[in-house]
Amino acid sequence: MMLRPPTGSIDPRRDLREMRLRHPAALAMRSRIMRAGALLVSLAAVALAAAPLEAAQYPGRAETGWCCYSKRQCCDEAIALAQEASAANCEMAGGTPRPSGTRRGSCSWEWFQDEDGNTVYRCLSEAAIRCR
Amino acid sequence: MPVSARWRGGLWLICALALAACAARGQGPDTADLSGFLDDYSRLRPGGPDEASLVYRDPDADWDAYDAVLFEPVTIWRSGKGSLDDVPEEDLKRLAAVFHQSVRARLERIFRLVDRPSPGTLRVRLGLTHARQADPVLDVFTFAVPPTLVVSDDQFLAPATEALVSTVAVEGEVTDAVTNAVLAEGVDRRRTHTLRSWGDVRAAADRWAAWFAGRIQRVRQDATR
Repeated sequence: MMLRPPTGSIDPRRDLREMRLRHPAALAMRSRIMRAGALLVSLAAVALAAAPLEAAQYPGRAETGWCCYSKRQCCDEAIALAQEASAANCEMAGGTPRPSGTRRGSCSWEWFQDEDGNTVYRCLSEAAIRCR
Repeated sequence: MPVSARWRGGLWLICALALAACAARGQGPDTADLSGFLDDYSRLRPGGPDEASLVYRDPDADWDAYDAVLFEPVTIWRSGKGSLDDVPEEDLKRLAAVFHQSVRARLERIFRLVDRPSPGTLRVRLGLTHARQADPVLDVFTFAVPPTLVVSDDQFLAPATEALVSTVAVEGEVTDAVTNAVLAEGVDRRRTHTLRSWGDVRAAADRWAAWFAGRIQRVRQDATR
């Protein structure tokens, strides 16, 4: 016949640990840690909720027509127009455009030579500005 | 003769004609390898020891007639749609701003800096380019108002930023701000230093700006003699 320890027996080390955890100072510390944890979770949730808003972008596309003798000028115009289109798309989606003071976008182009031999450009651009 | 052999013969003939055409043109730049930032590359010639890689200067320009500069925001051009996407936007701003600030600081020692064209004003346009005209799409970055950014020199470049700055050429043109006549233009692809930190970038921009302003000053002095 095997002897089993009585089920209600007390492990002295476990008992000591529990007593320490129930000590008022330990309880206060635990409460502080839990509050800090909750605050961190809230901050993370706010950051996560804000991130998609900040990152929301509505690309705009634009085309200049045969506008320019300079590819650089043509691309500048196309990107400016595409950014305006992006801002309009943002507003249509209920957001507020947040221009960053920069001009950024892609630019592709077509060209032909007029009768005087000058190269004339038509540019197409896609750009996206920030939208909140 | 089999068809494939005839094709090969035809290709060799095309290649030979192309080589002959290049030889006949002399050492003019291969425009397909240039970015298209400048309006006309045909007049560029290889630069001398203290000049840009490719240069043009209007021999009849009256440089002494100019006392002001309208300096446009520096632009970054790179071939391929989304080719600048991997470079952080803050880094693009910093790069353009550091370069802009360096050149502006040098130019304002020689000229009045202005915001609007008027007689006696030079327009200076500069681009940091890594693009080929043959490529169908470009990514472009510039700023509407030059930012005044403070960048720590100790800060290392992000890998994508380092890749960008180590490949760009500087292209630029100096025009009469009123008539738009091109007075000088060039493409500079010199590489002298490894760029790892923002301090390296600033130093390189300062060196380039000092050289650029020195060239303009020398041309003006030559004009007054």
